[in-house]
Order: sequence, then structure tokens, then C-alpha cells
Amino acid sequence: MATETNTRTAESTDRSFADRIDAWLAEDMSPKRALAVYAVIGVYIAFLLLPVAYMMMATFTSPDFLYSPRLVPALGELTLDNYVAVLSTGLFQQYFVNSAIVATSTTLLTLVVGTLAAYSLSRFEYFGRSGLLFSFLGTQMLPRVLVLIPFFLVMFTLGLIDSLLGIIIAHSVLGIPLGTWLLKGYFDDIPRSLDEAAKMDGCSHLDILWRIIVPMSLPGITVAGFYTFILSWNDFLFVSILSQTAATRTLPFGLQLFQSQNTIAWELLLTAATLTMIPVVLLFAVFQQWVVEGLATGGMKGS
Amino acid sequence: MSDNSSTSGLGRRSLVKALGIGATAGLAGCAGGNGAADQMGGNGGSDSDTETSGNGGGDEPAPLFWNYAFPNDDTPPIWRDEFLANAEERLGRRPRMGRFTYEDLRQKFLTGARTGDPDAIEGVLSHLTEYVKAGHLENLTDFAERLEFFDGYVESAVDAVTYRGDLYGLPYSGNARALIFRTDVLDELGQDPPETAAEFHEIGRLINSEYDDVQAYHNCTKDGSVRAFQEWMSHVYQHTDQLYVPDGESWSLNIDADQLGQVFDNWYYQVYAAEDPIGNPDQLGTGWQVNDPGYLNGEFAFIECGPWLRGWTAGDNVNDSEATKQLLDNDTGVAHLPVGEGGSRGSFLEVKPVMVNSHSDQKANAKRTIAAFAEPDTIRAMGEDTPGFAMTPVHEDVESTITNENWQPFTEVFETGRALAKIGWGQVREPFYGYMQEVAYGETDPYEAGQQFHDELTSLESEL
Amino acid sequence: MATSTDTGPTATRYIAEFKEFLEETWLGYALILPAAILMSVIIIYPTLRGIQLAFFEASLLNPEQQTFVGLQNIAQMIADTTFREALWHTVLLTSVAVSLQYLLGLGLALALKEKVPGAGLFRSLSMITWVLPIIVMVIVFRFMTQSGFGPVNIVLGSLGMETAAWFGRPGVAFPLIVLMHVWRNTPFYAIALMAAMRSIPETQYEAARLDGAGPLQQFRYITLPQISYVSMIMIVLHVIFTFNNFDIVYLSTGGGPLGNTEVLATYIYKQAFQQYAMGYAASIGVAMLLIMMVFTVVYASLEARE
Repeated sequence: MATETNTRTAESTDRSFADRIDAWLAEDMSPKRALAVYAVIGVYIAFLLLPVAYMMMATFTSPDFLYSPRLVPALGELTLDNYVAVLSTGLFQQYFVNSAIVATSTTLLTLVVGTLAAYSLSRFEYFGRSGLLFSFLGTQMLPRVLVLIPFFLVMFTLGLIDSLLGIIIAHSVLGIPLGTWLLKGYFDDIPRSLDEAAKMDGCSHLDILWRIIVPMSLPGITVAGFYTFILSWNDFLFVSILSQTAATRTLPFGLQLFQSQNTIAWELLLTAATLTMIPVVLLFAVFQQWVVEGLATGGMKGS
Repeated sequence: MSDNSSTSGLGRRSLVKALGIGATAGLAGCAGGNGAADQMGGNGGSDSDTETSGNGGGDEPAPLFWNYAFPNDDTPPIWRDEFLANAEERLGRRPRMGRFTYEDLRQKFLTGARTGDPDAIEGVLSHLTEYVKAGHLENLTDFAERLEFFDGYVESAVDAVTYRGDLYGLPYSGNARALIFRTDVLDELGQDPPETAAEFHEIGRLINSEYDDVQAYHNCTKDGSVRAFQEWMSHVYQHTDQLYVPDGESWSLNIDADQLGQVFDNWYYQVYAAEDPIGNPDQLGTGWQVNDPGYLNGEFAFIECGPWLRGWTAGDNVNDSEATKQLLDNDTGVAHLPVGEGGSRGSFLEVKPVMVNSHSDQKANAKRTIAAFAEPDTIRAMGEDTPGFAMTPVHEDVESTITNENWQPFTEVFETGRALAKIGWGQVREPFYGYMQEVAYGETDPYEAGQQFHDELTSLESEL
Repeated sequence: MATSTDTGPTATRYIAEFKEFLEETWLGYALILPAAILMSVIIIYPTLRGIQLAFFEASLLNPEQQTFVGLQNIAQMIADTTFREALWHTVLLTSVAVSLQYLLGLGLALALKEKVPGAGLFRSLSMITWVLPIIVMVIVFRFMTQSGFGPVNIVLGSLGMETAAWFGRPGVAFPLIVLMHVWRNTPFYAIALMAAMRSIPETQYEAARLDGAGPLQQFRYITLPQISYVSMIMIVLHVIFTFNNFDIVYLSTGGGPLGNTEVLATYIYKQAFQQYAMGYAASIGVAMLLIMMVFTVVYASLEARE
């Protein structure tokens, strides 16, 4: 019968389409479930990213559009002028370079110092061990506003005012507590038997650290590094205290370049903000897998 | 793994670490010092504000000068170039400069002046009073008297930067706040500009009822806004010459509770909280960002403002440059601020000084730097670059930049201006914002607030 | 234990062990030395000085002249109504914000852990709000709620609803601050919780399913307990962060309007930099520190006991 054939053909087409989707998804995933997941993600992303998306869209428009009561620009109104303007601002370039130097150096310094400290806390027994860790974490609990003046005086005595090195050291100090805590958690998870085995082979402690512990903790090191990098990249308060001239400023200050006593150049400001944000987002995208793995594999089992 | 690597392991590890830190330090050291600055030196343009000293002379770096006043747009930096040229003449080289917002300038100077950096600093008058109290400013009396152009300064400007007979800054710009209004709106309604607060309220309400797209008035009510504080002080100065007067070693409050209440009533309660408010209660909690551009875009009929509005035709919060230019050239008038009952003409006098850090290790150079900033040639260049800053020049050798007769009254208003007394204004500002907002948001009766505020200000007398 | 010459006399063995012990301890100290030095000099010492200031009266304008006043600052603090208001705001902000962050983060984590195509991309995208500098976030929110050309008001206006400069509205400013905290930090929770969830072996879920457990029960008895450690870390970290946070509030509302969004951190700042009362500001800071320490210890020990 014609209808029967039709139905059968229709059914088989439906099924093969569904089969194809099914095969495309993972094992215990059904199209229905995937749809539900996408819906939920969609809602979240919309909530989280709408303002950011709007901001980014605004950076491609001209001031005329921005101050008019319209929401969406026509395609013809899009322009790269803002980006050209911001990127060719000498000071902005300067700040970008400074930020890159400071954040990278801070991450390196923090990881090195933190790894050593975490190893010490994890593998050694000595008086004051938990006291030290506790005091490290305690520094995170005091509001920073209070520390400003004595901190400034200390840095001045050390001659670290208005130098990138001073900023690097200050940022490292911010990152060391959490970094050390994280890393210690990782190191604790690595069984001591491996240590023993290595010692029997004649390795010294530092060898063990370098050859065994570190390679096994790369996810954790990535997490700590990523966190520190962002901390340094986004910091405004400490740079503000330590910097006396434009030569030692970082990107968060860049936004002030487009403000003056009486005016705020919104379109340039938003462009500068976008440019400040993009590198760290890219960084996260690149290191995402490691970061997630790092957070997953029991990395947070600290003290 | 089985080699006896204990010593070499230690060595290798520390070597790597040392290299790492060394590289970091080296990189940072050379990037933070001259390397970056050299990169900067080549960049002309209006936003490079770091100059290296030509370290030809001694080893010491050029004096460090912090400022915020130079405009930060695409126009040619006439003012900055003139200043640098004059400074080079006096110093033999260019000073180093740092640009910070006024709030940052104040915070950094108060925390770090003792370190000797910066050597010179620009600011607003309320900063000067705080810095003087903290002992961070160098007494410039002798130096000023030897300056060839010192005699030409307007008296009120010099008074403003004087404390107990000693000079602590050189004035370079000054202005008083006036009533800025739409002449076309008033003409259409057949009204003259208001002289008393009562007239002002009447006209304001008339405007609101007649016009849909024009709001009668706006002023600043944002918590912490410097402008809001200055607007309030303008009206205080209509009822008294000084909020606090010296009383031996301390200070004594010089206004009564009723007058404080009047100011709250006339300029905040009637504007936002009363029935048929003159302002728009939806705009409560906003600052100059709404106030000034709002007038320029034709939204308000009256605002209080200084001369800087005159040249603000292009720029980023202005919707239609042409229309704004029309507005400022033809449809704007300037008058004294309307006076409350029992008051007389008065206004907030802003005098912006340049000052020398008393902890600096090169005070002579710092003094030369500020002399270069405050000399008539530089002020004239400022007038060329930003006419709004030199409409009421502080030095008689500099011509006012007022060309439009509508804006002439600023000169008169300037003469009625009073400068801040030399107290630590932070302690007055904090409670002011509280009371002002309570009245504006309709939480407290203005006269009650006036009484409470009066009591609080009285109790501050011993602390100032 | 290192290889010891166990055929030697006891004394030598003891000496060898003792030497090893010394070396271990020495090395332990040496390894932590860089961190310890950096921390002590740069931040611990200033922190102690900051705490010490709580017992003195000092003015910002003349910080060297400090007069010892003992517990007077603390007495003043207890009587101060603004302090109590700020404390209430801070506690409210912290509890609401952290709870919302946790719940929303949990939801997002459940969605993100699924292996749908493009999940990796979504994970990266969701982290954007967390890596954004705070000043940028504040700028974006202020821009959006501007009266006039702020998009929020444009939308509200076209719907015929009221428009205003929302950060200046007493009832609205505080929720906006909460919103900003939640908007910023939820992704961090999500990624951490998601990571923890992924480390739970599938076999547990399968076994539960075979026993007839529905998704809700699976969640309650398998997922939740195993993420409790990570949850605790997240919550403690963010409670501390939110409680102490200064810049989000200060940059957006300054503590207004009408003191509606005044939190302890902004109050300290104003006391120190506007009122010049350094000693009093320090005592508030010490109060905050104590509250945080108590919270951390109590919460952590509760968690551990489970």
C-alpha cells in the first residue's frame, strides 16, 4: 500500500537522523538530554555574557550610535576606529607590555617560591609548620585598605617604589598563600612510596621534587599559575600605590587614559576594557583542560 | 636516577632558580627604568606624559611633577608644550611628569609625600588645605616674593593659597560657580533670570509645566561627589563669608542652623523631595556626568557650573556638536546664583594651585617647576588650549578668554567668590553627603537636618 | 628511611639518624624560606602594624603622632550606628551573594559537565566574567544602567516602565551590588564543582541506577557528598573575599545612596582617608579579621566532622 511504504520510508528517515545524532553524541547522551543541557547552558551564558557582548558590540560602533537611544546598530555602522585609536595610543601599548611582563614574572616567581614552600610543608616535619601555613592564609583575611600605608613604607624602605620589580614582588605575595596551599594539596596526594623509591635510588630531595613531584602535579601547577596570572593582570590597588609615573603602570590603569576631568570617552574606554580582557580569556581557553583537570584531581585537598 | 646527583642536583636547581629570578629582575629593572621611558620619549601626541630627563647634568633625576589638568584629547598640546618649554628654561631640562586623577593624587600624596616624591604637585584648593595640615607643603612666601610676576596675581587668588600669613602654593587657574541658564527658554516665558531662591523655584516650576523635554534644573547628589560638595559650599557662601573662622588656635563655626536648613531646603528639598519638584527625582544620585552634558544636550534649563562649560562643544558625551555650539554661543546666559533669604551674593571660588613637597630633596628645582607652570605665559597658553580655564584668569597680565558678552558675568561672579578655609575638609564632607542625601531623598526635613548638621559641625570645632 | 648501615653500633646509628633529622629539618626550613621571607616582610609585617594601630589614635595627616588609647576604639565601634549598619550590610551581602553563587554555580556545573559537543567552548566562555577586571565590570554595569542611553533604561522605556539612574536608587543599589558579585564569581564555582563532579567514577552512578535510584537521589547521595570538600573550599574563599571586598562597592556606588550600600570595607576607607581616623579604621579592620577567622575555623571544623 502506498501509505505503508510512505510511512516506512518516513520512519526509516526519522530513525536514521536520530541515529546519526545519537552516534554523534556521547554514549549515555540522548538528543533530548543534550537539548536540555544546551538550554540550561544557553540561559546561563545569556545571563553572564549579555553585558559583555553588548560592551563588545559597542566597541565596534561610533560615539554617535552609543549616545543615541538605539539598541542595535546597523551593519553599516560598524567600525574599527576605536580599536585603531586605542591600540595606537603609545601609553596603552606601554601598559600592555608592562602588564605582560609583570604578570608573567609574577607567575614564575610565585610558582617557584610556592613549589618549594609547598614541598617543604608537604614532606617535612618541623616546628611551626602549620603556623606558617595558617599565617599565609591569614593575610588574605585582612581588608587590604588597612595594609596600604605600612606596606607603602616597607616598599619604600626597600627601594621598590615605582619599579616593575616592586609590583612583581607585591603581586607574588598576593598569590603565594593560595598557590602554596593548592600545591601542598597536590603534593600530599602523591604517595610517599614514590619518594622512598627514589631515595633508595640515591636521589636527593630536590631531585625528587624536580623529577617526580612536579611532573605529576602539572595540572595543579597550572591552576596555581593561572590564578596568579589573573590576579596580577587585573590588580589595580597595588599598582596604584606603587606606581609614581606612567612608565610603571599596567593595563587596568589604561582605562584612565580615556577619561579626563570632564569627559569619559565611553567608546574608547570600552574598547580598552575589551583589549584588557581578551588575553586572559585566551589564556584560559588554551589552558582550560589542564585547569579543569587540576581542579578535579583532588587538587583542593589542602591542609 | 641512580647517579650521585645530590650536589649537582642542588646546584642545578638553584642555578635555574637564580637565573629565573635574575632574568625577571633584569627584565623588570630595565623595563621599569629607562628602557620603557625611552620608548615613550619618541611618542609625541597628547597623551604621553612621561618625559625622561636629559641626564646630561648631574646624576639626580629631574624633578617629578604630578598633575591632572592637561587635557587628554586629540587637540594639539599647546598648554603642555608651553609649560615644558618654560620649565626647561628655568631648570635646564624637562621635569618628569605623572598623571593621576585628583582622588588618586590626594591619596598618594597623603600616604607617600614623606618619601620625597613627587617634588611638585598640582591640585585643587581642598587638597592644599589638607596637605598644609599634614605638613607636606613647603612655605613659598620668600620664593614667591622674588618671582618677577608675583605682583600680578589677583588678590583673592593669593588669599586662597595663603595660610596664617604664609604662602603654600602658586595659583594658576580660578573660577567661581554661576547660574547657567537657557536664555531662549526664559525669553519664551517672558521671564528675567531669578535673583532670589523663591523666584528661582517659581520659574523652575513654570518651566516644568510648560515644557516636556526640558527639565528646569539639575544638581549633583552623588555620594562622594566633589562637585556636589562645591555646589553646596557655593550656597553656604551666600550666607556667610567662611564656614569656619580661626579662633585662637582652633576654629569656630560661623553659620547658624537655620541658614544650613535654608540651603538644604532651597537646593535639595525643593529640587527633589517636595511636591512638584524642580528637578527630576529619577536623577537622584548622579554627578557631573549627568549635570554638565545634560545641559549641553539641552535637557536642563538651569545648572550651576564654572566657565569650563564654554568650550565644551565637541567631545564624547555631546550628542550633537552643532546644536551644542549654537546653545552655548547664543542661547546661554550667566548670572549670579540665586540668593536665599537673608543672604547676599556669593559663590564657591575654586583656585587651583601648584605646590612643592616639603620633603623633597630638590626643592629649588621643584619651585622652578611650579613657577614655570604658574607664570603668565603658561597661563596664556592654557587659555588658548582650553579657553574655559582662563575665563577668569588669576593673573592680571593674562587676558580673559571671554569673547561672548553672554558669558561676561563670570567676571563679576568671580569677584564674589570665596575660597575654602584652611581646615581638613574631609571631616565636613563626610557628614554633608549623609545629610544632603537624606534631605534630597525625602527622608529628613531640611530644617531638622540643618539643625543636626549644625550640631555635628560644632562638635568638630576642636578637631579641625 | 634511608639506607642505614644496620650492622654498625647503636650510637653511630643514633648519630646518623639525628644528623638526618637535622638535615631534614634544615632543608625543610630552607625550602620554605623564600616564601616566608617574602611574606613576612612584604605583607605580614604591615599587617601586624595595621593591627597594632587599632589600639592607638592616629591621624592620616600626622601618622607618627600616635597616642595609645587601649580599647577605646573598640568601645567607640560598638556604639557606632553606622558601623552596625555597615556590618549588617556586609553580612547580608556576603550570605546572599555566596548562597546564590553556590546554587547557580552548582546548576551551571551540572550542565557543563555533560559531554555535549562544544562543551569546552562554553566552559571557556563562561569564565569571561571571572577574569574581567573589576573596574571594567563596574564600568559595564554603570554604563548599562545609566539614565539616558544606558541599554537597561532603553529597554525599560520601550516597555513603558520607569527608568532611572539605577545605582542612585536606594532600594535598587544593594541588589545591583549583589548581582555584580554573583555575576562575577559564579563561573569559578561552576568550573571547580564541575571538575570535582567529573572525578566521581561513573560506576557509582550505574550501581545506584541499578538499585533504582532516580536522578535526584543520585545527586543527593553520590554527587553532593563527594563535592563537599571542594564546596567548602569555594565557600570559605568567597565568604572571605566578599566580606572584605572594597572595590566593587566603592567604584559603583561609593557606599551610597543614603548609605544603603555601605559595607565595612568602604567604611574603613572613608574613616581612614576622609576622616583621617587611622586608629579607628584599624580597629574595624581587626574586627573583620576576627570575624573571618572565627567563621573559617567553625565552618572548616563542621565540615571535617561530617
